[in-house]
This record gives sequence, structure tokens and C-alpha cells, in this order.
Amino acid sequence: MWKTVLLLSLGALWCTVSASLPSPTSVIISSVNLRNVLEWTPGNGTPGDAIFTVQYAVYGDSDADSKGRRVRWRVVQGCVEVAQSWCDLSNETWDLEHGYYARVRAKTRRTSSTWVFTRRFDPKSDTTFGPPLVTIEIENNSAIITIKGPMRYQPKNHMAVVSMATLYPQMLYNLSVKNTYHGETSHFRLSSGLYKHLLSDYNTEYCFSVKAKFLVMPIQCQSSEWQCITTPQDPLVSQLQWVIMGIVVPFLCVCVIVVIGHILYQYLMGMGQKTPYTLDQGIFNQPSLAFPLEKINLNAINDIAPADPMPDQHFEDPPPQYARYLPPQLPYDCGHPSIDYSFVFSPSTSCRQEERMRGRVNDEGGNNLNHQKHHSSGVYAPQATSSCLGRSFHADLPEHSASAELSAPEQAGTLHIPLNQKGDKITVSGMEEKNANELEPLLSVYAAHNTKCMAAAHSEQSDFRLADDLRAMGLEETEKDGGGHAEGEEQEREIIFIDWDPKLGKLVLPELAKWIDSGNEPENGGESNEGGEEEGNVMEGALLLGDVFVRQASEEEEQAPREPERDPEGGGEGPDILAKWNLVFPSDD
Amino acid sequence: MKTLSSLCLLFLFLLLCCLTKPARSQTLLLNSCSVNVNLEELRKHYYSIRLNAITGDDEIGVKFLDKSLIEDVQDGQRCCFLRLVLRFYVERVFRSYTSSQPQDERILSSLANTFIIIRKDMHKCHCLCEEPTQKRVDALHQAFNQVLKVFSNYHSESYTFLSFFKLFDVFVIYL
Repeated sequence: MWKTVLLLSLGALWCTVSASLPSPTSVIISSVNLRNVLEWTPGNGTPGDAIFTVQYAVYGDSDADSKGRRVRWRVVQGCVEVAQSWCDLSNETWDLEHGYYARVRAKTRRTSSTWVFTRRFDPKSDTTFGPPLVTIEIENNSAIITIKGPMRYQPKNHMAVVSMATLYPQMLYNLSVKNTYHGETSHFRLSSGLYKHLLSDYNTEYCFSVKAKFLVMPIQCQSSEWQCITTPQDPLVSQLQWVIMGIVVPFLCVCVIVVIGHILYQYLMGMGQKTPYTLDQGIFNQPSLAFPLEKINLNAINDIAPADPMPDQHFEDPPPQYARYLPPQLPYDCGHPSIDYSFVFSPSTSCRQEERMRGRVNDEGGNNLNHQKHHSSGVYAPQATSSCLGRSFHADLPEHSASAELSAPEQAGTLHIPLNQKGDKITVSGMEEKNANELEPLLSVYAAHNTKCMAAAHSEQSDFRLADDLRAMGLEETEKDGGGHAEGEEQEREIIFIDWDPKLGKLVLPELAKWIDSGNEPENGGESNEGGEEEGNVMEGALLLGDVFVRQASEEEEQAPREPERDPEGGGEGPDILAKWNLVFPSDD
Repeated sequence: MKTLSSLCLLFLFLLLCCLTKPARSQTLLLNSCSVNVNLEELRKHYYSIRLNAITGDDEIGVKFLDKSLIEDVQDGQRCCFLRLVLRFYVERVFRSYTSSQPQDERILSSLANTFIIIRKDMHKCHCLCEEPTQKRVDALHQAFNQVLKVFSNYHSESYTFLSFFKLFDVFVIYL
């Protein structure tokens, strides 16, 4: 009885101890490239000092005994009582023609767990394929892809390397080609490990990935890493680049050098440079300085106002008139040293101003002045400086007074004649006051060369102007020539002569004097000198003194003694007006 | 019942074995005649039932068929051998097989229909059978009888199902 109780107690204790150790879980055989490894996870509560033992069996391998067939479990070398949770069975499961079973259990010093079996493992069906070895070479426009493997795992070093392809004849390769430019991925099924892929696109990145593939067998296969290649650039593009680099760029460089050289040449040689305007004036004025006003002896004012000039017309509404200078018969002395004043005008601006004037005159229908069209004063300018020497000529004021107009503000030291009381401007005959006010200070005692132009253009008119009574002759001549000139010379003109006495060195403006007498008599309180009537005409023409600029080149002190000399001869009014206008005429004295 | 499943897979193995060389073709050349076989479908059915079969097979030490049983069949006897095996499976294995698993029954039913079609197509072939080929087929019958004897003590459908796939491993070798 006691023996029975003791045995039962021992049996219960043994069962308790045996059941206390949990069994491993998740016991499987994982295989990659026929590298078969048994893996498990220790059960919950398994102590840290637990060790594991692995055994394996071949399917159908059993021993027959008295109780029947018993499975022959075999010990795995290296996997007996180990602490690790895996065991490599590649060597034991080397034969692919068999199926295998494996079991594992945990064990401590006193107890052990139950065996945990795996399902049947067929290496050939249950293994997975790793990534094959891929080599890519570029040849011409193709990529040669060489695929190997994957290789079977070699548990023993002495064994030859065997490709999985030899073990699986039905194995295929699946090649994936990704075109990064188009973002497309194409797949190719390959039966061999050599493939030639045509690279159709230039300068494009192609990426290749290969994995094994089976049509029927549900074998998992791993893909290889993407191997990318970049195709070279299009030869045509390269050639174009070379063409650009080799031809166009040098050509452009040469062009740039040529242009730079040309610019430097122009700069160094002084070609193409524009002389400052002031310098041009200075150069242009040199002849004027050489031939001062005194030497020109041209003091005629051609008033081409209507036949019936209006003496009473005020300054604000001057009749269109022309004033001309007619030189006295005295010869011109070029070598006179006392050159103090000269008339200056700008040829370039005179043409422009002439157009303006012409336009204005044409617009003024009431004036009915069809001025004789003259040639460009700029053309005659050089000629005038020389051709007028020693000759009597007349000046056509309307054209040239305007030409002298613009030069006024540009002349340093020029003397403006403030004939216009309102705006200190001198109106020009043929111009309304408003037009005159818009203009620069004018002086109808124009530049000498302008008269020369007239003389050159109308040489036939110069004869009668040499007469003593220039005004009368001028009137007669204008009447006589009126029918001959189709350009409008038939318009009545009244020539106003400026009497210039070289001996006295006094310039008499008939119209001006008259105007002064009539308009400024209370102020002046004196009589105009001789030719007062003519001066009045000048003033009627108003201010026909379009613009004459008297440039004072001589010293100021020379003017002082001269003015007193004029007083007795020119009367009280003349010097006052000149002084008031700051108009100084030098004399040879 | 138990023998049915085992012999079914055995026949599948034998069929695939015979079709090893022309495996990539849908046409099975047997001597002077040709038979169209949908080999892809056959393999597909096989792998569909394989996982379930080997998972529950705990009879590690019992292996009814061996590779040597069907190896080294002469080329001239392939027609005869395949014809006898088809007859064996259609008349003994599939006729006596039942399963409680609808999916397994559907797969095995497809396999049986495939076998019947192949057998029907082979009637036009005149196959000359030699004695070694006949002995191989007799060995199959003995294995089937052994399966019946081993699992006679078990009255469970699960064992029947498991015994049916005892020959699975043999097919795997030739796939």
C-alpha cells in the first residue's frame, strides 16, 4: 500500500517537473538557396539556462521492430544541447530527393520539454531563391546582361559551387528593365543567363533587376538589386556641341575681337567721334573772328514787309518784313587788327530754323509773304566767309535771322539786342510776336555769311544793291524781279538799309531809330539820327532783327572810349539805345 | 479510401514523370500517337493540395512509393506504362476516394477528370506492353494494398486524407 502511494507520488512529481518546461514554438526550416536552417523560438517561461537539442529524420526511414515501424531520428552534429535557437541542417538535408523532418526540445539540468516537430521539408520544393548574380556590360547601343545563379549554399568548402539553375532545369529568369526617363518598367522572361538589351534612348538611365522565375512551382524568388547604367549622349548632340564649340564660339570670339578692335581703332584714331557742340561753335566762329562785323561793311536791312508797311504797328504785331544788310561800297579789309565783333550763327541750326520759319510764314496767311526760298545756309556757310569779301551783298533777313537765332544762347559772350521790350527779344519780320517771343533773343542784324548766301544764290540781285539808294533800288528790284522768281520773290519787299559809316564806326538802324523815336520818345527825349525813317522801318519789321549776335571779342575798355565818340555824331538817342541794349559796335577807330 | 488518395498522387507522379521530357509542350508524344495534356493545370493542382497534405502527415516512417519504382522506364514502354497507371487510378483510386474537405474534393475531382480525358485520348494509341513494365504496375498495386493495410486500423477521414498524399514526395522529385 505504502509502496503504491510512493510510486504515485514519484510519478506525479516527475510529470510536474517534466511539464514545467515549455516547449519551443515556431519550429520551421527556412531555406534560401538550399541553405536549410532549423529555427525556433523558446517557449514562454523558458529559463535562460535552457539548452536545446535538435534531431532530424528522413521521410520513410524507419526501423521495424516488434511493435511496428519506428522512425529513425538522427542527431545533428553541432546542435546537441546548444543555447542557440537555430541549427543549420544544410549538410543533413543535402539530398534533394528526400523529404526531411526535424524536431527540437528544450532541456534544463533537471527537466526537458517535449519534442516539437516540423512539417515535412522537401528541400527542392520548399527552398527559396536568392538574388542571382547580374553583370551588365555596355556594348555599342546594347547592354549585355549576364546572369548567374543563384548559387547553391555550400555547407562544405570542398564542394564545388553549383548553380541553382543546374538543379532546376525549369528555372527561368525574369529580367526587369526600368527606363528612368520614361518611367517605364518592362519585363523579359529569359531561359538563359545571357541577354542583350537594346538601349534605344540616349542619355537615359537604365536599371536592371533579375530574379528567378518558375512557371508552376510556387517557389519564392528574390530579386537582385537594381543596377543602373546611363547611356551616353546622342552622338548627334555631341557633334553639334563640338560644332558649336569648335566653330561658332571661335567665330563669335573673332567677331567680338574684330568689333572691339574696330571700336578701339575708331577711338584711337579719333574717327567717328563727335566734337562737342561748344567746340564746333568755337571752330566755326574762327572765321567770324577773322572777319569781324566792321570788315564786312554790310549794313543793309532788307525789309520785305508788305508794300505798305505799317509804321504804326506796334511791336506786338510786327509786319512781316525782311531786313537786309547791304554792304557799303567800301572794300573789305580783312587785315584790320581791331576786330572786336563778329556775327555768329550756327549752320546746322539755321537750316532747321529755316524750316521752322518757312512753316510759320506759310501758316501766316495774312502776311502773304512768300519768301524766296534759299538754299541751306549750311551749304553756303563756308562759301560765305570767303565769297563775301570785298563784295556788296544783301542779306535776306527772314531766312537767316532765324538761323542766327539759335546760335544766340550758345555764344559765349554774345551781346543780345533787347529790341523787344516785353521779353527782351527781338522779333523777326514775317513773324508774329508770339512766335518771336517763343524764339531765342533775336537780332535781325544777322550773320554775315547769311547775306553771302543770298548773294551767292541771287547774284543777279546784287548788282542793283550796290546803288547808293539801296532801299529804293531794293524796292524797285523786288518789283522788277517779282515776276521772274517763281518761288515767291514777287512778293513785295521793303528793304531797309542800315547805314554803316565805317568812318564813324556807327551802325544806324533806320527802323530801329524810328521806332525808338516814336515809341520811346518820352524816355529818350531825343531825336534819332539820320536815317531815322529807315530805322522806323526796321522797327516795324521788327523786328526783323531776328537774331544777330554780336560777339565781343575785344576788351571792354575799348568800348568805353568809343561810345563817347558816337554821341556827337549819332545823336543822343542812338548811344542810349545801344547802351540800353548793350549793343556795342566796334569801329575801326 | 486510404489507398485511393495515395494512388491518385502516385498516378500524378507517374504521369508527370512520363511527361518530363516533353514537359514544356502541351502535346505528349507517346510512340506513334500524340496526346494533348494540359500539364500546367496538372502541376497547378498538385501544388494546390501539396501543402495541406504534407502538413498533416505525421507518418514519417511510412513511404509507399519510391523513386526507383517508376524510374528508368524505357522510351518504348512509356505509352504502355502510362496507360496502365491511368487505368489503375481511374478504376481504383478516384472511385474509392471521399473527403470531407470541399476544397480538396474539388481539386481531386479536377485531377480525376484530367486523368479520364488523357486516358480517353490514349485509346487510339496502340501501345505494346512488355513484362518489365507490367511488373512495375504490379508493384503499384502492392503499394496500394500496403497503404490499405497500414491505415486499416484508423477509422478517421483525416488519416485517409493523409494517406492519400503519401506519394507526394515522389512527385516532387520529377517536377
